[in-house]
Amino acid sequence: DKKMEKFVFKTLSSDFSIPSIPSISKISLKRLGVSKPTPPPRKPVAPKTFPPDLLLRILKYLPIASLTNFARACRRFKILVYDDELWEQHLKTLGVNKIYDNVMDISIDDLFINTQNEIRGKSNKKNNSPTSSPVNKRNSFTDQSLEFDTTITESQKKLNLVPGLSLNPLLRKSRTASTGVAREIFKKIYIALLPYYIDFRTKRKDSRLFKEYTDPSNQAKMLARLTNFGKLNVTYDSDEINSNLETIVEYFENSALHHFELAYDAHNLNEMKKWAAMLLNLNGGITCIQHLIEVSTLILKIKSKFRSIRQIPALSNEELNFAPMSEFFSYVEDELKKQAPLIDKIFPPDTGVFHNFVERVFEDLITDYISQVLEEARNRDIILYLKTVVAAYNRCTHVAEVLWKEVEPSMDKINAENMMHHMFEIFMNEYLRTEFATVKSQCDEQIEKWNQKLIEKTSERQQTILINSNREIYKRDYLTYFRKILMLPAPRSRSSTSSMSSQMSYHFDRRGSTASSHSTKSLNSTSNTSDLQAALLNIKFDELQQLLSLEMTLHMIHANKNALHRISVFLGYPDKMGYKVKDILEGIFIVFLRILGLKHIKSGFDTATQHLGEYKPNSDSTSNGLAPLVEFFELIHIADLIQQMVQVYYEEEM
Amino acid sequence: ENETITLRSSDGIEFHIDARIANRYTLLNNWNGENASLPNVTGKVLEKVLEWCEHHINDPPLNYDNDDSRRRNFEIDDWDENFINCVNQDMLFEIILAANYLDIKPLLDIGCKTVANMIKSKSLEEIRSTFNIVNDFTPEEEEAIRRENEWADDQ
Repeated sequence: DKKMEKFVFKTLSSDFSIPSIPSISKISLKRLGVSKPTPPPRKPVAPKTFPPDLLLRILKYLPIASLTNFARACRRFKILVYDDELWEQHLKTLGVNKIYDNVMDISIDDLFINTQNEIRGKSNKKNNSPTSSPVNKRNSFTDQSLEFDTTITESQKKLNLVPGLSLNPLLRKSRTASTGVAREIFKKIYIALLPYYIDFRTKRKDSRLFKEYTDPSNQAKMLARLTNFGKLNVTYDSDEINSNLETIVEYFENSALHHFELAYDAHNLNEMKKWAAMLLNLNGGITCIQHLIEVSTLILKIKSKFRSIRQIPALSNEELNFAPMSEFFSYVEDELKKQAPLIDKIFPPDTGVFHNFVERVFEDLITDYISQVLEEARNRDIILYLKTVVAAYNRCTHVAEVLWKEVEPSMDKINAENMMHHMFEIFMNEYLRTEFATVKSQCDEQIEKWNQKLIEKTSERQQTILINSNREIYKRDYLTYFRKILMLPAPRSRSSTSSMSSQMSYHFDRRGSTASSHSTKSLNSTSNTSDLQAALLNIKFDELQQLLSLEMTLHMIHANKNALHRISVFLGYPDKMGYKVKDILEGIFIVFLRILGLKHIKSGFDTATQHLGEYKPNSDSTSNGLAPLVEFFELIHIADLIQQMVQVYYEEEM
Repeated sequence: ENETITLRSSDGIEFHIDARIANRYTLLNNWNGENASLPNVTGKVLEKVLEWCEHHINDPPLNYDNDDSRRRNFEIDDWDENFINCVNQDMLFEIILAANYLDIKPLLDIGCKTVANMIKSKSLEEIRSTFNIVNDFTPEEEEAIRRENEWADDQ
């Protein structure tokens, strides 16, 4: 009296019925402890299919030994148990990627060939199975009935390979394309490995594996195979066996690593080779590589400067000092150059160990360093942080370049760059977010400042109006100098940007409205581009900026430009991140336009129209009566100028 | 602040779910808006499936290209175990079908693992009775299959 609702797999026999899709009809009755005298009539539920690929999915998780009973349950289940897809997947887990037709002639070792050289799933999982095409075909099960007509003749002879299978085509469905080869291969390996595997139920170091295999390299090979074997959940108690096995592997690994370390310290290349080969057999030599990394890191640490390397690029003389960072990276590059030939000698070629080593260097060493530096830079100043990211990225690009140019034997260029990009990607999201937020807040800040100024200034309004003929000339001149300033070389260095802004601010200050101590300071620092500056001074500029500010627009453009220059360094990023970089780049420009347009120009015009509306010609005869109207016209001119500045900026930068 | 999308089960029950859930499982996303109704999933089942999705909303995205990684995570975590053990067998199969239909792979895997655990140590007769299978083999055929698979015996 189990209170279990049952699924009925109505397996329609071959004699009647078209494809025997299982229809799961629910016995929709919950027996709440009360057993009914007569079984309820089967409710004709809309026939649901439990597709074969779902059943196969379940089978993949079953222990091998449990499959026998499953196959004996009914024909339909049997077909699934004998399906190639199941066994091909099992073989893949074992690390056998090649499927031979002539199973019987091939030794176990040969079956495992090609697999030892593959490390951490970096292998190309090419399936050479002759049945690989039907496997693909079988991915869609929605309409099985349509499928088998086309494959009848082709799979008719294969059908014979599955013993006990009815030749009735209606029974086969799409599954019968299985050749059974994968299952035969698996059987062979299973029979060979199982005795060793279950021996670990009770035994450890006294296991028959260690008695029958005396060479450590072969022992490692077998242990690796058994570990994969255990992943199949082979037996009912495989969890236990697996953990026993794991202990042994660990012990084995540690002792091998110890030998490797000793050999490394003694510079004994042959010994190193021997133990490295063993570790390679065991698990791709990860620990070996880890050791090399540790040694390399140690060297870095020993070099006394390492402590100072950790320090943040300091601000000195208005210039960012990235020397400590350069130092760190050149040590890393030196180490890479030194280890590459050594690894090449110790490990067999094509094992990808150096690739792995570089990956570890990137992940453990460089990532660690960069994140520390960035964190500290961030704590100090956001702009410093942004610049540091760019500098770090440039250094990493250089490391990648060293990898494919200078290191011997060198790496594939694309490979090296991809690895570098992959490594750096973890910094990118935060960087892009910060860059965007900074531009936004800088723009907002400018607006805020301007508004503040506006309030202060309203009292001392002393407006001169340009004569019409001068206006065009003046606007043209202004734009010309704006363009020149925009195109100043070396925009990323601090000095030029500061001189640029100081020139501009000087220029504005000279117009007399807001003379401040700042202007005298900037006077001193701009001597290098004195001719340009002198030209700027000659422009007559009047206090037109009651409501719109050219100066502020200029500052916003500077901030924007700096951000764009930083971010454009990352434009080489591949794939998704590359698109993201482009998106943010666009976003930064757009956010600038939005803030300038909505918060500045629009609100400026709003105020102006409001003034116009409030103006009553006769109310005040003492002040200049035309003021609001003139003010409005001036406003339009300033707005036009701003629009042209943006235009120039856009054309220069994009 | 969170966007929601609407799904309608085959029996007309509407569910408003966090758009982030739909984003995780692209297929769910396709059912938004006018196509909101899922013809193959009943409200009762959809409720369970969405309960699972809700709990796993912040999981890191899984890489399903790598079969091996899936296999290594053979263990089902406590919450999932509790979740899946609280449904009856009928519902379990319904959930598997729904997860398959909606392409929610992690849930599908949990379901399949659970079924595998359920049947792995059952005898032939137990399997047949659990699944209510009609035996369509002759005794000779059945014996032949047993002999053919003797190699897999792990004792």
